Amino acid sequence: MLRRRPRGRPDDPLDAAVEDRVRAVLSLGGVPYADLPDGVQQVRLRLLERAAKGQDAPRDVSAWAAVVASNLAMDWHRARRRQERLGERLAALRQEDAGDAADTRVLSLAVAQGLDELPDQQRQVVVLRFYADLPVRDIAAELGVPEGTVKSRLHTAVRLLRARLHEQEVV
Amino acid sequence: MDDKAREDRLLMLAITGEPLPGDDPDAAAVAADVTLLRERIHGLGDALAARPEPEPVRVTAPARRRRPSRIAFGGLVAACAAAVLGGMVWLGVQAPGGASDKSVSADSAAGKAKDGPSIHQRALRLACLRWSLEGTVRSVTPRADGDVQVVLEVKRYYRPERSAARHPTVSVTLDGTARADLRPGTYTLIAIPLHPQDRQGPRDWATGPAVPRARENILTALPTSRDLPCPGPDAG
Repeated sequence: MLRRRPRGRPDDPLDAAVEDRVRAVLSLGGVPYADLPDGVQQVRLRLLERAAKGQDAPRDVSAWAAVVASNLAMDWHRARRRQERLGERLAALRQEDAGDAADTRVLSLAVAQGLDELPDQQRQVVVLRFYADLPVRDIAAELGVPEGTVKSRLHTAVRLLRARLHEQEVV
Repeated sequence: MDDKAREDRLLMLAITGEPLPGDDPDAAAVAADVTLLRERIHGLGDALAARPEPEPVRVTAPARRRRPSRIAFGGLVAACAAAVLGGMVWLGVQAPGGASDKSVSADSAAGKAKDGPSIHQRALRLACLRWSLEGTVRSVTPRADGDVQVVLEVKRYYRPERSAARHPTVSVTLDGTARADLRPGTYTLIAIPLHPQDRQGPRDWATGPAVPRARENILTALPTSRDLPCPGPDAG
């Protein structure tokens, strides 16, 4: 089972649930485990900067943090010209740590490998849509791209991921 | 609209969370795939983010672990399991290898009618199948994880309801024990649950006289199942 980390401080602008979400979005974006604390800290700093500039707090901190984290993952790739392979990370986890039954794990590996194959922009919208559960309209607004672009990226990515799933079941 | 354009449209509706047309035979399969994808991405994100540094354990392709048989819990539980869970059990089909019809005996043990689960229960079970089809086995290939990859020439699809003429061949992954029942040339009916944890090993396929019985039960439940969503793992 998953082990929970200690809860954040009471004055922390990111509560524990949002921090967990940020870590997950960073991970799905290919940021290595060792760099997750830095990524969370950068999201936290961005939130504090907003407050320092007198800007209103995000209407939905969790959604805002997910988008910022997904952008950080993109920047991380660009800076290092590489990314962590999710499939390899998942395979390195002990089965009980991965939290999956063996059957489910086969599918998780298929999805992880599928995410590894996606171009960064497609992977970003997939994570925001299917992990952060943001509507297409919000993703488009946050990323500053037309809704049609988000839909197109999602459609292309999901077709590939769906094919990956079916490789495990029926092709 | 051709098949690809129609499937693309269904996929986009599922991605954006809009309702899918209830009269489209492929809608359920598309919706199920997108739901499964969402579940796996959630699980993947949580697993990768919440773990401490992983131990360097080499992982080969994992063998499918079968959950302990729910039938072992006794009469009443077995009756419920037979009615709601399982592969061919709910169909009232004799298990491969000549075992007695467990669904009937379980129902009898629970004081139920001897004709097995109701149409609604069968329909619910059908709604929780990713694939159901019948056809002739063309090849059986062992996989590294102990399962087998079975290629079939499909005569008819039940779930999703699609044309065998357009999709004449499929390759399905089944429990390794399928090697005892399925060989090239064997005619079989296969039911693969939507949720992998609901797989029932040898009860996921039928051969011989069990095929027409399974077919009859599927055809009886099929119209009702079209309007039923799968409630989730273990419920189908």
